[in-house]
Amino acid sequence: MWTYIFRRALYSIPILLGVNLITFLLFFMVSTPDDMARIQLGAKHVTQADIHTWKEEKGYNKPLFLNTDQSGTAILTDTIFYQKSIPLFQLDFGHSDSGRNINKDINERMWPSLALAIPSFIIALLTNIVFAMWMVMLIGTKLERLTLILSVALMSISGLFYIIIAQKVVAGLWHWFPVSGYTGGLEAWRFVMLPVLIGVIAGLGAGVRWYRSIFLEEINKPYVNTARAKVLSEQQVLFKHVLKNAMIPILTGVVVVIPSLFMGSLIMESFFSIPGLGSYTIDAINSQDFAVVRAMVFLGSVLYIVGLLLTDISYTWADPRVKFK
Amino acid sequence: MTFIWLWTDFLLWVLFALSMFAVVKIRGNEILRQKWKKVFAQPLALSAFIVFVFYILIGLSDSVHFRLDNNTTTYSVLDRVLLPALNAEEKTYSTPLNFEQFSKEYLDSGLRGRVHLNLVDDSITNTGDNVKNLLSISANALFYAAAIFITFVLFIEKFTSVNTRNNQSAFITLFVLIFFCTWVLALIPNYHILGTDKAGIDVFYKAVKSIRTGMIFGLLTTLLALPPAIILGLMAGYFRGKTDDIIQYIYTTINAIPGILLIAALVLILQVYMDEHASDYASSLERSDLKLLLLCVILALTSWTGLCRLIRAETLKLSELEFVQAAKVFGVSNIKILFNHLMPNVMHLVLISIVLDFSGLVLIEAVLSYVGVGVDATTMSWGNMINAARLELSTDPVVWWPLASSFIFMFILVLSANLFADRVRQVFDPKGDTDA
Repeated sequence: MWTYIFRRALYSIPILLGVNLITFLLFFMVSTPDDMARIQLGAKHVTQADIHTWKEEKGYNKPLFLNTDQSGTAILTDTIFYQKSIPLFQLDFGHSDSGRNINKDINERMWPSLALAIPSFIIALLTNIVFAMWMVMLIGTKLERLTLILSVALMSISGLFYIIIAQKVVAGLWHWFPVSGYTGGLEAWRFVMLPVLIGVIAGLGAGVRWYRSIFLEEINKPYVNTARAKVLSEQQVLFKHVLKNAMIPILTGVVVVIPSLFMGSLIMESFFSIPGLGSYTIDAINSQDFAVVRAMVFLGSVLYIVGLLLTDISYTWADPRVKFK
Repeated sequence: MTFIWLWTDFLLWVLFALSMFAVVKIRGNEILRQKWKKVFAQPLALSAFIVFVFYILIGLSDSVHFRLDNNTTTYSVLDRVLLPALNAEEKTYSTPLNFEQFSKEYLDSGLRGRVHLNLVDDSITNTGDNVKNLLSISANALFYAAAIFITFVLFIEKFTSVNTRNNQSAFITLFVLIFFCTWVLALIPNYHILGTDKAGIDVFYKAVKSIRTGMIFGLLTTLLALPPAIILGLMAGYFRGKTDDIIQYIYTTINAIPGILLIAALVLILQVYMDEHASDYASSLERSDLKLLLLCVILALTSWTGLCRLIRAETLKLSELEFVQAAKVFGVSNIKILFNHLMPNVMHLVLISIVLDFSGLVLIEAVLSYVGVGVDATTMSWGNMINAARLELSTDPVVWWPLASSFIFMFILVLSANLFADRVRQVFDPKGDTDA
């Protein structure tokens, strides 16, 4: 298995290189370091000298891909592309355009993101599966059609509405939860509860339908009949037999997002002023801090690739017949 | 009168022509015709489809722009229909169907009171009169709607073989829509149906104008994403080997980049570029239109990968089958095999993904506007409305109607699209639910 993981890790290098090349092309060729300097320096009357100093400070004063002034390997290494992308592979994100240490920011902001993302993920997973199972039990009844339409209606509402209304009514009017904000430590649960709740409800419609379709594919297989013939209760049939057999498609959809939980939720965090990585990214987008956005894009891609790898590994746990080659 | 063709207008009409072409094709194909018959056999799906078509018609009527000879403003057909709402110059907020402004201020007489709205008849000065007036207008509208509807039903009974009794829910939907139209047309010269916003602009007008933006997002993006998804997916599945490796590499790489970040990054760059070349655009309308189009291109760039992967997997299976092998043996060229033999067999995947993606794309527009990378601030869209409404909710008393309006308009569109998509998936997906 370790050789398999090692080989997969090797495969991911060209993908990360590709990601890096795309983001580099986007950020440095389409909008040149001069443009970035102008944005960061802000003022309308920026002299060429100001731009030059800013570029020197941030290390943007080199050629993009090839430095013909240098000799030997320095032709390739003394360039913006090399200087700005090789450290990324060591997960060293350098400094933001406004001068902050990105690694330090990520270390600090990761925890609020996780405090929000992990409960959301687990509770959503459990609720979705339980509701989907319940809908499978309802097959053939009038109630089934109603729940189906209800789930379509739930998923037709923009997530923004759930957030805006809940924040206004549940937190603002009824004072059940704080409207927004965050504190570290155990007290954090008070601030996290409402966003978690909203996240679960907003995802319920689509989630339930997805799990239901997975279970429906299993429900007509012979082993289900056998289990029923053994006079197992319907709950036992569904939760013990069907759920286990539906594990592969479930894992395919679920495991890949687990590492990305680090990245936090852009919308939730900025609505509830939770100082996580999601709101960090939004702030960077709004202040056009390309260094931070680039770091987050790279981090996101690494986590996605780790997620794919974890998915493959989880298959062996769910189905012992799966072997790595 | 000179017609003005914006890029999105043009593409939307191309799309319309393409779908009409598809309808003709489907009518000529017995199997497809049976399948579509099955789709519409479900009353809910048929009703959802009628509502969806209604939205499309509004979107299309908003996609014919022209400029009158004595005027510099560009209008769309829809603008002319809603002209009273567009021209009424109110000062600030007013609640739906009200006759005076929302907040009190000092009047010319020196007293504090609410200013009467410009659009509403001056003779209406209290709530009782207002309700009476509204009821009489509504009754009139109902009468006209009933007249139109009955004529229509009689026409259908007389000249077609459609049995109106068998399609009750469809005709009820139709009646509701007709009544909605007559009601709106009757009220628009006299009232702000959904009130006015902070700048005194009619909220109903804004919400209706947003339909086009939502349509463009949902439809154009898919249209732009289809060619790369289909062509690359077919090629990867059919040629395999190196081609497959390269195409897989491309879409894995794009998938690896977090979607919303990639979109945000692309839009940031677009913004920088457009700001620098601001003088290249003839009018702000053209500028915001181009931005809308490029936003669709950006979304398409990030969203073709899912369908491509599905088509690749399906093509891998199909190329093993006898009819492809036979075509190869007969010396049919690769291009012909790809487009004449394989492509028709993956079209059900394409159809399902078009209808399923539509609602997601309409919803994402709002999110993008919130993140600050959405459509131009001058483009009317539900996202921009929701964005503005966030601040209004914290005022006291609450200004709820702009948010509610955008919510209702968006919800009905997305719901009908979702219900219809569900049925299409059931019928066309061989693995689809068998229970309905």
